[in-house]
Amino acid sequence: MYKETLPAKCPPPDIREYDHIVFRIIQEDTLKESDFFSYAKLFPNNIRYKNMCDAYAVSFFKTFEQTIATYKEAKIKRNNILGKFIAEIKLENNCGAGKFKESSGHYNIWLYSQFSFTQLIIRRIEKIDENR
Amino acid sequence: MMKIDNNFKLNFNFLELEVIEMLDFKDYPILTLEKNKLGHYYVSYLVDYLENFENRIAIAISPERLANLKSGELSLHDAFQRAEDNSIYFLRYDMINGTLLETYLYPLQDFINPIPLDYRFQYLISERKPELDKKEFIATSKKKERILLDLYVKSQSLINNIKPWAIYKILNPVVEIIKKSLGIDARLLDKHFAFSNLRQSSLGISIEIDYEKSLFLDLPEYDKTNKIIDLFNAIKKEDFDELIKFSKDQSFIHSYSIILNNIIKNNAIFTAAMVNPLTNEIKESMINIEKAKSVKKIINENYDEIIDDIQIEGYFLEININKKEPSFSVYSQDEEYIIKGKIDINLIEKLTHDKINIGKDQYLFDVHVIYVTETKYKKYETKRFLMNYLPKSNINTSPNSV
Repeated sequence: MYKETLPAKCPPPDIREYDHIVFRIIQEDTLKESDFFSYAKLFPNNIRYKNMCDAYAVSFFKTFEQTIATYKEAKIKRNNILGKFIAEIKLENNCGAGKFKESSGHYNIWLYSQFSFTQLIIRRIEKIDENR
Repeated sequence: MMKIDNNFKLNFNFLELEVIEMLDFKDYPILTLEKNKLGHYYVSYLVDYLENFENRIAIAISPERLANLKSGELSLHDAFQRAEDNSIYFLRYDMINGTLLETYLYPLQDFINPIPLDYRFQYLISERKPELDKKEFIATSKKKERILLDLYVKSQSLINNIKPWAIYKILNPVVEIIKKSLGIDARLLDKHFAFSNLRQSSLGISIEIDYEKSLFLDLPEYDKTNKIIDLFNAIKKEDFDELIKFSKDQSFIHSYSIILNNIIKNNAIFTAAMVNPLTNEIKESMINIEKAKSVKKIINENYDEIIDDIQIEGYFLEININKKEPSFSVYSQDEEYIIKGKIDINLIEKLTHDKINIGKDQYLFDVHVIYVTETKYKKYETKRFLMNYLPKSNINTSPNSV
């Protein structure tokens, strides 16, 4: 059902599907499959996070501003590994299921096996203005 | 980027930490909860990724401080700034395979805190229903020969301790609903009710309800009280209408509204389970914020005014019939509090002629209560009208009458 083989008791039982407009930081000005790789997919041999359910999920944000705030925080930590573009896309029920934290506007979504970035409706892709 | 001081580098990597929980994860592990082989907790914060290294800082943390951190009472910056064992670990991991490569141990006075002052993470409590040990639940009920209602309230604000809202706005209304359904006089509450199995770290409690022993499997007390689980499972107007048919009045909707409002206000998860000690039947329910919001909407749309007629035993404290809207206040001996309200116009003549000894003579008061349900735009309101009163000496009441 899910794109990746998940650890035991993953995802948690209180997840739900979302039919929302969301934002995600991506590498370039077009969507690629690797823009939706989870941490576990990027580092499959990392033993520290192998059993951590969240490591198999992908992050989205509710607003452009929340995405920028995360980008700024992440930029320091990830030293330009992170992309420089933000995509506004429509997350649909058949993409995956996950959790949403209101205070940070953060979605953690476990993608379904049938998910393909090509199915996403893209509303806009914008280059991040570093001075914003 | 944190400046590394080789003076603090250890020659061996003795910390064998296992990640047990992601406290903040946004595509990468920002804040983790980890445990060593001895079971001691550590919180570990991602400083940066550099040349295939994952650099983190970590501190040992006591369960009490961890609870403070999760509830938001303690910031992560302060947790590191006032590390309990006065030392901070800088840990360098291989980003690819997660192996610990280097360990530095900084004394607190040499540590330059890289965690932003305003860094906050939202700890989401799991909506997973607490596992109910059904065998134990039935066994306890049988052993005590009492109907058991087990309640559990989970909320961010209850991680560290039990807050008054959980007692006054969840537990009390539940007791009110049961009291009403069984028609228990407040003075006999101790005889019929008991609380047990109190669990902290969120509020868990069992309510024990007494029942009349009989030779048969029928248990009228259970038939009446298990409706509370049907109430917690009600999701449409028809469910409420069905419950109203079995009830003397609608006041339970008012009590339930208080519970729902506080589930919403505190983003709580409320679970309840009830067991019949004779048949072993268990009924369960769970309400989260989303369900509470949708049920509250149904109540607001259909029951904006809830009417209840109550009888109070007590004495007059004040009668004012000269005002435009005559008012009264009486002291309720059952509930041990003062009830105030307006006097029904048809009662004025009787009050004028009766010789009332304020503060002394005992009466049984008939009070008409209107609860106005709280909405976004208006607060709760309780309107009380004194409809009649009878001297207690004229009435032969049984202790169980309400």
